[in-house]
Amino acid sequence: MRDDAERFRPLGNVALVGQGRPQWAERFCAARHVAFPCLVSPGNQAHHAYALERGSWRQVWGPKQVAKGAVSALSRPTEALQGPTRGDGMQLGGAFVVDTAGVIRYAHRARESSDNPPNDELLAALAAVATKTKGD
Amino acid sequence: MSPPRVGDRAPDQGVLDIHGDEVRLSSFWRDRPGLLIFLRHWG
Repeated sequence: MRDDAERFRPLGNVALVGQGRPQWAERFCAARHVAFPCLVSPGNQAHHAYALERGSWRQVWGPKQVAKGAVSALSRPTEALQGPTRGDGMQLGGAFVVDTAGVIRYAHRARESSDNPPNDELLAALAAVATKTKGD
Repeated sequence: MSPPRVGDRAPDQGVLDIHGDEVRLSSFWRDRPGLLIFLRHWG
């Protein structure tokens, strides 16, 4: 995400929404030089509103998820030191593109902990909405 | 309540920024399209 910040920026507004306390988000985003606003949803109310699931142990800690995590850590060794998981460790993530009328135009709900849409997919979804918005 | 899908209105939840101030999610799509990335956790 950070590597593609300059590709996302012209297409729309990007925000990261996590759980827990503002200081958790602040620490994480400062350490990783996150280029977008970092927000928290106490009690995971936003996660619930968008119907993001809580995973099972298999969905969060299954062999596939652990293997993907290991590959990711090896590919970015400077970010491999993951901090402790705070909050609901079974919460799964997701991504949504919303147009200026407040209508969802793209939705991805993670089916397991390593189920993250590729940046190119998110960029394409955002670009499609941005193009339509300009044409309206 | 059924999960919000493509074509449905996006829930406009209140969230907190890193300073603890409340922000509406709609502020991210009001003027330009918005991409909301929901993270599992900050660790």
